[in-house]
Amino acid sequence: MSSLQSNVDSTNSETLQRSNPKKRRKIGHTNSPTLVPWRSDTQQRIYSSKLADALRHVLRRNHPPPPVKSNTGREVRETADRVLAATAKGRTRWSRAILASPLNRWKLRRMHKKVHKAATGLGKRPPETRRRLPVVQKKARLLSRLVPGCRKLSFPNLLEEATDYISALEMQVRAMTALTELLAGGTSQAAA
Amino acid sequence: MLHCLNSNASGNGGADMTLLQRQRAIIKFQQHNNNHHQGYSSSSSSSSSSVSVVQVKSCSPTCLADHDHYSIKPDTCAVPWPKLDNNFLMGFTSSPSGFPPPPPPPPPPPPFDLNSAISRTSSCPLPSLGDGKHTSPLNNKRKTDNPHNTKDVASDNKEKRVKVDAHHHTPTPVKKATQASGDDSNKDNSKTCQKPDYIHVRARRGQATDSHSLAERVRREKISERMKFLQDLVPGCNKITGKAGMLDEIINYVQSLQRQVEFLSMKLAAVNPRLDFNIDDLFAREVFPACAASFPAVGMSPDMANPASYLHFNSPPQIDAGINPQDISLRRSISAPVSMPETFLDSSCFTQSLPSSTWEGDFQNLYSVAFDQARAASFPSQLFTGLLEPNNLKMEMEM
Repeated sequence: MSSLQSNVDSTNSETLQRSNPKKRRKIGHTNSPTLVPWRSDTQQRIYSSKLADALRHVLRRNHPPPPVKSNTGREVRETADRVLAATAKGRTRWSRAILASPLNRWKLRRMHKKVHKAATGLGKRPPETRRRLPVVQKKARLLSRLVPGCRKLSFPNLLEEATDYISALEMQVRAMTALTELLAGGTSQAAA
Repeated sequence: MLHCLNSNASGNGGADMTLLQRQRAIIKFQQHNNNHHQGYSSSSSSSSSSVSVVQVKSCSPTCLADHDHYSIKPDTCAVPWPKLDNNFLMGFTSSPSGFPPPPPPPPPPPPFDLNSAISRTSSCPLPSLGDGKHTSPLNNKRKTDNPHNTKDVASDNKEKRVKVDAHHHTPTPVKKATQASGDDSNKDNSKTCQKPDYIHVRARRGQATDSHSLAERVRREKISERMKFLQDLVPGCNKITGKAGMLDEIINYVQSLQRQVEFLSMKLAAVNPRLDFNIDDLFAREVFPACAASFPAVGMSPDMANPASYLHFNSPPQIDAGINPQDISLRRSISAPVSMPETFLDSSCFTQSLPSSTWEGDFQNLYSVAFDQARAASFPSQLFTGLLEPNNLKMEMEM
């Protein structure tokens, strides 16, 4: 974990240093075309190179490893997300959120959710009628939960973050698919 | 002369009584009175002079206005119609064309007043300019009082300015010069400066001018704009209209993308351990000090890269004993060049575009032999067609 952490920490420190002055600036979001162009090939190349390298670390660490633990998949996923956020150069909220909370954020969040649900289940329900949120707001909440770091965001900003996040995810899927195909093709070639 | 006046008055064709028409009506009345009341010698002389003036300048209605004004002045004392005249004169003389305001009835004019009137005709300012100037003080007034009297302005016309609007059609400079370049529409968020800038909004014709509804309209338009972006991004959203349906689609899409990423990561984790990583560790130990020595900064020239890569290229054969040559070639192709980028990445992560391109070019040259085998592996491009160029990625991996 040390080598990966050092790698990630360096990226973390840099992104945080860069993102702090950006956070102080008022959130006058630049329009989506001026954000990272996730569709371009250069971006994909950059991402793939970083991803390959980061994966090296992870898999090297995990290789002599306990095959009992099936953490590798999750770690790979987290690495991939972090590399994606690093490629985003910290301009977007979700990327900063991913980089800022590295340690098993999904797992912790799930644990927190379970605890929270148990607690509320035990508590008595208020007798008043449940306030029915408008449908759109419910969905907006769902979306905000999906996009990392966008919980308490206004609706238009949430939409903008979602736009960027979707294109980033698309690029991530593309890159990882190509990577798996390469590696799968490579290993099959080697085995043959 | 009365007829010509009538024709002039009707010739304007305006439904409203323009100032000219009113003044001509006054003249008519005055002349009528003067014709009747011949007892006033001065007035009669002035009336005759005024009539003559009218006759002379009947062709140019604009100058007629001035003459009317001048000719009216001597008559105001005589004609029992002072109130109207004063009102007209007040209204007309607010324009800074040099007409003195006549609240008290002026003394009867000497004959040389006519000369002055005639002399002014040569350089008579057009009433259009007068109108422009007439409105500009009001505009200035609007601008100065704008923060205070937004409601008054709204009552005047259908346009309302929440704050000072830069799109006002006057040559006078906008006072609040912090208007950013939101030229497409006033409703853009123009927050280029660090302090929050105001949103300059203008209500469209036929729309409510309440500040609340304006703000809400701005908000709605922001949201719809972003929804349009998302519609382009998410596949299959063209048919769906309405925020709820769109949001459903977006949520589904994001969830599917995240699931895909997870699936691919599992796949990667499964695929990778096949490669032998012992050699990678050895590489790491050997390569890192060498790399650290030879690569001090990010902007490495490709020349420096070459000897180091040769180093890596030479080292593997010494280490691997009893391992498949194919494995070696692959591992070399994958691991060795990647260890070099590691140092780059550690130092800085954000200036990769340039070096990556140079790496690819060089490494392609270097590892062409080993790569023939890798390239021969067919690329099943089932999932993504046309979205990526397999060659680039191949080079990427072979780096």
